[in-house]
Amino acid sequence: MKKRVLSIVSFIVIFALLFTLFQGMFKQKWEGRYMRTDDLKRLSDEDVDILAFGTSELWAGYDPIVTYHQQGITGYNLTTPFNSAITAYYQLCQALEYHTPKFVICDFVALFEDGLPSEDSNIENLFCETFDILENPKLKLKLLRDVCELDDTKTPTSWFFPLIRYHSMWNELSRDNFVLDYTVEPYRKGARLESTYYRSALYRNTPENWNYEEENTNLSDISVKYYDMFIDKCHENGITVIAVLPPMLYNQSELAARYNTQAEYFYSRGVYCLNYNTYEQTQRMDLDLERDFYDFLHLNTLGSIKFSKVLADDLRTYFDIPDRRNDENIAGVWDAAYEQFKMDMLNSQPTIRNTVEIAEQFGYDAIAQVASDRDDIYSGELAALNKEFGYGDELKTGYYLYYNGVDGSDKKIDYYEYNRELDDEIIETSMGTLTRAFNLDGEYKYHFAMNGKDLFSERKLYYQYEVVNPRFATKLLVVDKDLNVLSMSSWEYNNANGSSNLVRRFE
Amino acid sequence: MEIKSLSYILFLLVTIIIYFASCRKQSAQRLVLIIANVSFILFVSDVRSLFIIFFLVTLAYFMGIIIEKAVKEKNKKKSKVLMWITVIFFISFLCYFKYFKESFEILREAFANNGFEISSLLTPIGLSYYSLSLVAYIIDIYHKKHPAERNYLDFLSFVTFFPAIVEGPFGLYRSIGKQFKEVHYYDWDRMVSGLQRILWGYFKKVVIADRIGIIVLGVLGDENAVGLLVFWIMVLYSFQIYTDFSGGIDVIMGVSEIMGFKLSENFNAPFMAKSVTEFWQRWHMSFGEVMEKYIYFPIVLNKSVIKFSKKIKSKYFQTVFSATIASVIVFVLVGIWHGTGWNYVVYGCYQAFFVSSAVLLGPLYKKAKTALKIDDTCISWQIFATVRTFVILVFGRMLTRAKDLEQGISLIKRTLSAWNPHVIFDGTVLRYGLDYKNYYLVICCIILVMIVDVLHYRGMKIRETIMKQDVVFRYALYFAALFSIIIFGIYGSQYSAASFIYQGF
Repeated sequence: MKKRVLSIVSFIVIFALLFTLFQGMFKQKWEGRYMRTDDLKRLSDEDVDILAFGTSELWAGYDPIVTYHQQGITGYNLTTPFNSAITAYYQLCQALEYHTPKFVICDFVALFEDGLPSEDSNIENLFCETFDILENPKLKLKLLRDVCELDDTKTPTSWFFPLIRYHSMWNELSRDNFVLDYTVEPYRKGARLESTYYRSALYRNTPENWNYEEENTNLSDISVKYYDMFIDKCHENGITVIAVLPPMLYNQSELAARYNTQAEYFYSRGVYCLNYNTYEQTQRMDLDLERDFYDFLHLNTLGSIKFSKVLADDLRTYFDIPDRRNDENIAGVWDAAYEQFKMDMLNSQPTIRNTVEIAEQFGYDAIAQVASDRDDIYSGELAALNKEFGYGDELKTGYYLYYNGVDGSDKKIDYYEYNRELDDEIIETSMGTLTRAFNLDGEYKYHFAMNGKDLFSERKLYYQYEVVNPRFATKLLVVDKDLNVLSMSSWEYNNANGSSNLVRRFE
Repeated sequence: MEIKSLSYILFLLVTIIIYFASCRKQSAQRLVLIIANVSFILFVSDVRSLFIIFFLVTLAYFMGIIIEKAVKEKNKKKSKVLMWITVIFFISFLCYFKYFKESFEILREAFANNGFEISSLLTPIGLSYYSLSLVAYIIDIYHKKHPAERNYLDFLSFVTFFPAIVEGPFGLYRSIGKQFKEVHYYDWDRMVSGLQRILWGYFKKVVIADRIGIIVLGVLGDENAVGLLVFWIMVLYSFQIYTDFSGGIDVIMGVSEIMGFKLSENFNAPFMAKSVTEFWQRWHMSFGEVMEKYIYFPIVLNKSVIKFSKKIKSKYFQTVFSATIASVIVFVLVGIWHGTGWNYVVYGCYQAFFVSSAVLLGPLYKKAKTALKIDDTCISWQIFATVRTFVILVFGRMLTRAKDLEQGISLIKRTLSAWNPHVIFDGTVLRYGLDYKNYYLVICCIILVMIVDVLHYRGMKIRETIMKQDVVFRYALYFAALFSIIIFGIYGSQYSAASFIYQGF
């Protein structure tokens, strides 16, 4: 009998150990969002003056590192894709166990929908994510109880054991599943930071897009109940709640029509509202609807920087939020994080144009591209060439085409003006025909034909300069042909990659 | 409550614990079993199903006693009439719910379109299984194979035995009824053996059958899928239906074994069969036993049939005529038992054709083999015969997989319309719901199932062999099986539940 009991106990123990081991492997990483709780716990209260809750529009739009740089406003982005009022409430409860911010911003997107798991597999995933990320077992149980009460398609079984829920991931296992932690960049602060962009060729931002007829839309009782609990919880903790509605490309008229209903709700609950989903606000932000979004709903990095700056300015204007830029305890860390953010964002842009746009947001006045190549066209020694051909101090926006005479021809340089307004351009140069075309991937592609011979095509122009009067520039960004940042403040002689690029030191 | 659901597993756990806790008294144990049976029926179906089962069990119980009395009184006419009335009643009851339902639904829709609501017709759970068991019970009493059961609760617990009520195996009272009168004590080895079988059953059902189901659905839903692609998918479908059905039976047998019951085996390496006849001796054996004992032999031994066969000139055909007729009738009924459409009738005829032609043309085949010097004991012939039988069965499956005869014929036409062997190797199959990892998992698992079947076919007792191994090996095997089910199993919200196929019959 003893032997049997021992067999059973040992079997159960080994099973439990193996189950736990597999459970660790089969955990959903939720695009790294599962790390946010750990990240949040490590921060001090001064690092979290604002907490953001809501859905992917705010996740993509709100960059705490930018609001810090702009107005010294620290914060953390705890939004998730496909928000539901229920999950927002529980995420708030979880966050308040670690910090009590002064302000909470939320987009209240789910006001008009119930946001239950049975409605949509994305909502189901959202609930799974929220459940997985909650660390407090009591909160987990409460969420589970609420979900099962509201949605009779749900049962508790798979919720407690992620392995049961995510077992189908077995054929997607990769190295990441066996790595304990994702590395989180110190500047991310929970934000999305997506660098691609969505070019909607026919789309133009005009006031007519925002025209609407008043919509008689009913609020969801379930969502109202949980958003009320959300707001009450904040007010009990002395937290000011601000509704922040980011700009969206999709269905502006429908969203605008709902605004009055939303505004009534906010007013009745003592919630402040900052609505950026209007034509005037998009103009104020200088939002380019073709370039500042990565899809029809979500701002990309460039768009989020613009939005976050404006948000920071408005928060500073209307609310009493500490300016942490002079806070000795945290300014050093945030400043260093911001520098890394700048470097990473500049390095991650897919085209020179994107780099220029981001660089402008970071306050750069000039950008120069230096190339070393292994191909036939060699465009090194640009500064020397510039001087040689008389373009020394008079660099201006446009194309500087260099040819190094690799086939025995003379070296040449020519300047051609770059017309920003045109997408497609054909430029007849003394060397040949340069064709610039804007393709469906959102990139400029260049084709250069010299004396009837194709020298390159469908490649980035290695030696394009886009310079704005460097004599008056205080900041110069130098990138190589792969758009990696070489220098952010001065030109240097660079021996990187086995090439020698003589660049001018700018003082 | 599906067999693969967690609630079923919890139900089993609780039932088994209480069942063995009450083993001091047979009456207590029987009561626990009846409560478990009733609870199961209520979980799976509703109180109307329970009512129907109770009604039929009570009817069979009392009619059994009455018929036995008539038999003992040697009142042949009375006993025969009562027997036939009871049997016809049970068969009619089955036919009413099984076959009339479709027409009833059409009628219901017609009424609903005119504003009249009729509540839907109930389909009592397990009716196809226990109604035939009750018919067999009544016939056996008439033929004095066993006495009528006097203990109503024992009889009730036999008919409503929860592991087997939904998809079998068929239980003949004369074979297994005695077990419901015994006290069953807890036995460690039996529990381990039963758990092994349950694990194997879940592995086949949840990992293999349901996974194959995804790709089968995908290919058959694509009208552009033709030729060998369709044939290959029907091959996989044959394995799906086998692993689904046998997996469920393994779970049922495992549960029964733990509780101390030995039910009739349903499968014996059916894909190792070298002829269609042999296949049906290895596939759904409990059903085959019922058809054999209560349809086949009564026809073969029927005086009228024997009298008619004597009119045939050929001596050989005289001897095989009744067997042939019986085979045809049996297999047509087998087809009809599986479903209501003409495709099932044709399926039955298709099977009957091969079985009866094997009988009728037996001497011719023998002559041909002798003339061609074919040694049918050699391995190459055996492989050929096995593959040939399998191909015949695959084509038959096209009829049962289709929703009607037209679709079945269309499936066969699609298979024969193109010769495209490349589709099996060029990745075409990966477009239908399974990625390459899942697909290769299916292939590996099918190979594993075939290896196990070959070992069984060669007489190896796998579970006993496993139990003789050392603890490390055994535990490693158990954990491998358990975690294979948990990780590779097709369950959860991302998969739609594919219920056991044979529950639908």
